[in-house]
Amino acid sequence: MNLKSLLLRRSIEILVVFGIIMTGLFLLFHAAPGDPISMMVDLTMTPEDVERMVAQLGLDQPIWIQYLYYIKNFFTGNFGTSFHYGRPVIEIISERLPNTILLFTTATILAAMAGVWLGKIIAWYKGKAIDTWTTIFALVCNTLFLPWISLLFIWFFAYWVGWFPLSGMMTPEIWVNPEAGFFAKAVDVLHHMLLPLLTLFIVNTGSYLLIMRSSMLETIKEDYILTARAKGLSEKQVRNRHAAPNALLPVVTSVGLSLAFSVNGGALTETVFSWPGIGRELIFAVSNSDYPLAMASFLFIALVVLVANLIVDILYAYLDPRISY
Amino acid sequence: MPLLDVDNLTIAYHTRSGPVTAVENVSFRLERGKFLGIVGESGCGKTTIGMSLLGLLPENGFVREGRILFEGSDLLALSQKELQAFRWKKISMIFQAAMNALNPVHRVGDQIIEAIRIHNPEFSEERIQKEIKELYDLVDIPEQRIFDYPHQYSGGMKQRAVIAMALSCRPDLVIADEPTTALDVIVQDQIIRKIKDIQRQRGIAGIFISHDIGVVAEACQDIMVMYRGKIVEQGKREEVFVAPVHPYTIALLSSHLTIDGVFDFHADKPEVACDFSPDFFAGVCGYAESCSRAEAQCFTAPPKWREITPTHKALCRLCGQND
Ligand SMILES: Nc1ncnc2c1ncn2[C@@H]1O[C@H](COP(=O)(O)OP(=O)(O)OP(=O)(O)O)[C@@H](O)[C@H]1O
Ligand SMILES: [Mg+2]
Repeated sequence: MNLKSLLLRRSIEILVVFGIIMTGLFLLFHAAPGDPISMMVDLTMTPEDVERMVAQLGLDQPIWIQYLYYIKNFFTGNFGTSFHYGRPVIEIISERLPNTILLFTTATILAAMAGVWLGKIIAWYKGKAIDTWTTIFALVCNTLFLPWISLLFIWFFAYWVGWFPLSGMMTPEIWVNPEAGFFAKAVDVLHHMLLPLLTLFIVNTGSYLLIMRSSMLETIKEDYILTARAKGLSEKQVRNRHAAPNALLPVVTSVGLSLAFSVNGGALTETVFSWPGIGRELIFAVSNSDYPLAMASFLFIALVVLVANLIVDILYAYLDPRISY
Repeated sequence: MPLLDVDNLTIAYHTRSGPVTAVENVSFRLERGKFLGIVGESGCGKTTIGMSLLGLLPENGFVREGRILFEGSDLLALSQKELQAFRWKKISMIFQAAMNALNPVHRVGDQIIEAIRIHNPEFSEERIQKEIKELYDLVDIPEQRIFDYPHQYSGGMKQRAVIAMALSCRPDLVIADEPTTALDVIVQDQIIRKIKDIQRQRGIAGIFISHDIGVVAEACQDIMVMYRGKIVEQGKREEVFVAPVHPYTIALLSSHLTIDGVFDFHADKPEVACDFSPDFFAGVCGYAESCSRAEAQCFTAPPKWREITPTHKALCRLCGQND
């Protein structure tokens, strides 16, 4: 297996896909209802002012020139100015994106580890009470409607019991206090993060557990499992050394898929928990016709999903020696 | 004391329609260093017998009756732990589906080393390296392929690697369940020769399961012919293959005219399909329907064991009579 050529090939694929997404977005926004200019015009402007602004934005140019500018701007990190915030879009994105990545990768990794571990063990007790109950529980978790459970958790843990803050990501007092050290800030973020993390964890663990369990049950039927038993390995060794590594492969694929999903569905979670991430920003930007911000949010979400898939591909190739390039 | 003494073994599987007997009243003995061949058509219970010797029957399979003594001790009485220590160290197996017997995500050498390590925890790293090189040498796979992955091996190499794995803990008995079915004739021949060589070099005993009589005739001193879960004829190779008495054996051999041209039978071809219906255990001869010599009694009374010589017997009321 040649990791370098895999990386190269996948990167090229990602570039092509990203190019298509970029072009699609451009056309979509071009055809979008509502004239971006009307958002910026105020009553004090003369028609000449407006015309000058249109020229400044390049909106009087033919579409392909506009497209070339769009590409150039992307690569120079120039996404324009947010209509709403009046700040460069790139600034807003670089504040929000890390928050989203922090929450969702942590949740996905933790949920994947827990789901894989539980699914592996449960599969070995197939048909026993522990398997039945865990499976039912996982199914319930998996079908829970995320915003509903989020609200329930907020109501119970944050409002009723009062263990966690109701929303947001940080306590302003701590962050404006010049004496607060890194540690205090980290603890504060963690405190805010626990509840959304728990919600995502519960919902995702259920689905990973179910995938791992059924994948294990398929793997157990393989001949090499019989060989492993015949060699005199203990049940635990058979499970951990021979069944689990093979059963893991479909789970890895599904983690890749669900990462893409969770960033989309993440918008909802972020909104419910007022988590200052890019998903929430996207919803906000779209509903306020903040075109530059919406466009950039879309692009960066797409980029994150593509990169996450690249990482999953590499992980898969690492786990399955049969993959060769 | 024989190495292996199987006495009146009866094995059944739980199915939706109740337990179905797959192996009935099977008894045989195997001495150290000897090879026993089990032949019979598909579904007659060969693999089931092999699996029971390792305590590896599928979840729904169970031993209904009988004893399996290995070096005098009862295999069926072993605890899970004892069984794990016993497997591979005393009896190892070359599985029917050897192509899939290797785990695709581990290197072949590591899978063999794993077995050595488990049963010989005291071995040093150098000792293990030496062992695996010897094994690869024995089965003629170049040393530099030891740590390849299974998918990098050809079918024949996988087969040989599986044989190396079966020998890795120097067992007393190796069960080879159709070790060559998936291979072309030339490779098949090489593998059989290899197995015979190894048998001679290491003095291990073997059970050779195959529906290919040619293969069994070449490698085994003792032969057991099975039909629908029962032994119908057993004896020395010369007895069973040169002077078969059971109509089924005769039919089976006649469909294999290739063995050195020694055999010349004019019997009918055997029924190949072997659908199990529980009623064949109802006490009449299971082969009667397909048997050209069947008489009225065969359909009404149970078959009887006939001793042709002290080592050669057949389950047929007609054999050894009126000749
Ligand atoms: N897990 C199982 N559950 C139910 N019945 C089974 C099971 N495994 C095997 N059997 C039945 O037991 C009988 C003997 O099967 P076995 O695999 O021992 O045959 P075999 O002689 O090895 O055949 P082949 O030459 O095709 O490998 C068959 O009728 C089969 O259908
Ligand atoms: Mg078989």
